[in-house]
Amino acid sequence: MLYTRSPAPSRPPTGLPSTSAPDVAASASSSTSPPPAEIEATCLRATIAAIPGSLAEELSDVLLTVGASSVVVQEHRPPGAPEQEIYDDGEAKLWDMCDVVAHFPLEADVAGTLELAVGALEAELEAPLEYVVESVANEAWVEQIKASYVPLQITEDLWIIPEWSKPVDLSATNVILQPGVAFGTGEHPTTRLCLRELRRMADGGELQGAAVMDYGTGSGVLAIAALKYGAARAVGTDIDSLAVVAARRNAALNAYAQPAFVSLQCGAGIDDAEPLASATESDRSFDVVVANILRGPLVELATRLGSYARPGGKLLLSGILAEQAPEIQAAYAAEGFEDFKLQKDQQWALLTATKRAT
Amino acid sequence: MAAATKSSGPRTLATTIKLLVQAGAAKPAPPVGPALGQAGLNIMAWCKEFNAKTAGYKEGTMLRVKMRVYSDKTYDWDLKTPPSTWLIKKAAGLARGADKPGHEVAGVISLKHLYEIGLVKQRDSPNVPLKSIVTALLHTCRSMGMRVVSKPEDA
Repeated sequence: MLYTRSPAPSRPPTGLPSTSAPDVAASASSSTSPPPAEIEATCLRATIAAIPGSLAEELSDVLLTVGASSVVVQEHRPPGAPEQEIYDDGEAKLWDMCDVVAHFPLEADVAGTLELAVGALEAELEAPLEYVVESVANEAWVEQIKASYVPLQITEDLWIIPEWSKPVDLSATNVILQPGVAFGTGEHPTTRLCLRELRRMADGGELQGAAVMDYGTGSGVLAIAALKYGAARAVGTDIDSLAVVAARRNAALNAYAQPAFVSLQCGAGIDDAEPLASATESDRSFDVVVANILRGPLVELATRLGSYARPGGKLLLSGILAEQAPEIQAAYAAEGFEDFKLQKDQQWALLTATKRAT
Repeated sequence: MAAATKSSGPRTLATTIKLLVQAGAAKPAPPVGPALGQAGLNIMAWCKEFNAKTAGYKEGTMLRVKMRVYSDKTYDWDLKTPPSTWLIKKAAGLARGADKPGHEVAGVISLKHLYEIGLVKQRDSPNVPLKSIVTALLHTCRSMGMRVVSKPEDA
């Protein structure tokens, strides 16, 4: 499984407010941009230096067992020493000397846990573990995420712009996002597939004045793009409360608020309450239904998602692998959809269809 | 973030990562964020990749992800079942960590549980007979100081 990412130019975020500032979702100006959404509490990082490679593999499994959240192994390279180059030759080798970095929850007793881990090793250590424990601030790894987001070109005239960047092409359609919290930064092939399809629909005038449902809205990127292309209203739902807030914030960054954009929390399964239960029948009917989620929920929720589309309405389903498309197609054909088309980007797929006009 | 691309030659190993993630439930927050962030990876993209790949697993299945990240920021990753010791501890209902540092907390587990754990571990080694796997688990229990009883009610 290979993932290739070309290096992005470094673009540090400017003027990030502290996380203690109140959540001001309505502000759209960049000088008082909304604070980053609440992320889970910080964690601890224990860096254990100079572990022989022969031991590091077992130690990492033991650490996971005794409570480490994750274990990262890197080369132990004293200052000035050359890199020990390990090539990708099919052998899962480690360096002769490794640094083992274990992350723990904030409340963990790291010293006690490490003693337990040492005790659980098959071999005896020659010397006690030498390690350093530090707190990993939210900001530290979130900063890494933020630093990697730069303006992203989706099509010739459609860009996704991180909130702290300037649009590259002012004449293009620019969707402003505060990335880093919810899915839908524009980088993922499924987001790109859906955005390109929305762009194509916009060309055909299909989005003008349309009502759009974005089920699994994440960052709200698809709903916001649809609104930019002339949709009259968009509803975004998500099972993640952080995403519900993020989508609302991002919509506000693009100057969309209620009633143009509504962000709703929904449950994950078909047994969970219908998010639009209290809406009128006409409000529950959409010209375009897009759901970039996963195979499982797409199948489980087929009746609900299908019912959102008006006769003749359009359906966009993604977040699926190409091999999963036939199953999805069968589920939605049973809900009255026809004219299925499959588009692919690498191993990912977008399935589009039209609701039969009964 | 400076790109770590080598100017010449094949890619070399930069980092390995091991973590336990619930099938279909990877999120950028800890434990994934700090670990993948440490290695300089695109956390969000990996989460979506992982969630799609594990969409078919039973809800709540814990998986062990092993990743090898290379100098050009490419990576390979695969899925295994969690370590046997982890599954045994979970079955025995022990809290993580220790009350007495340096001392393994003794626990009790039933053969029925070991059999069920054996079935899980067999997914990693489908050609190994279940009996061999459970025998290995019995050895693991002994080295963990775990007492094995026949029936769950005796635990």
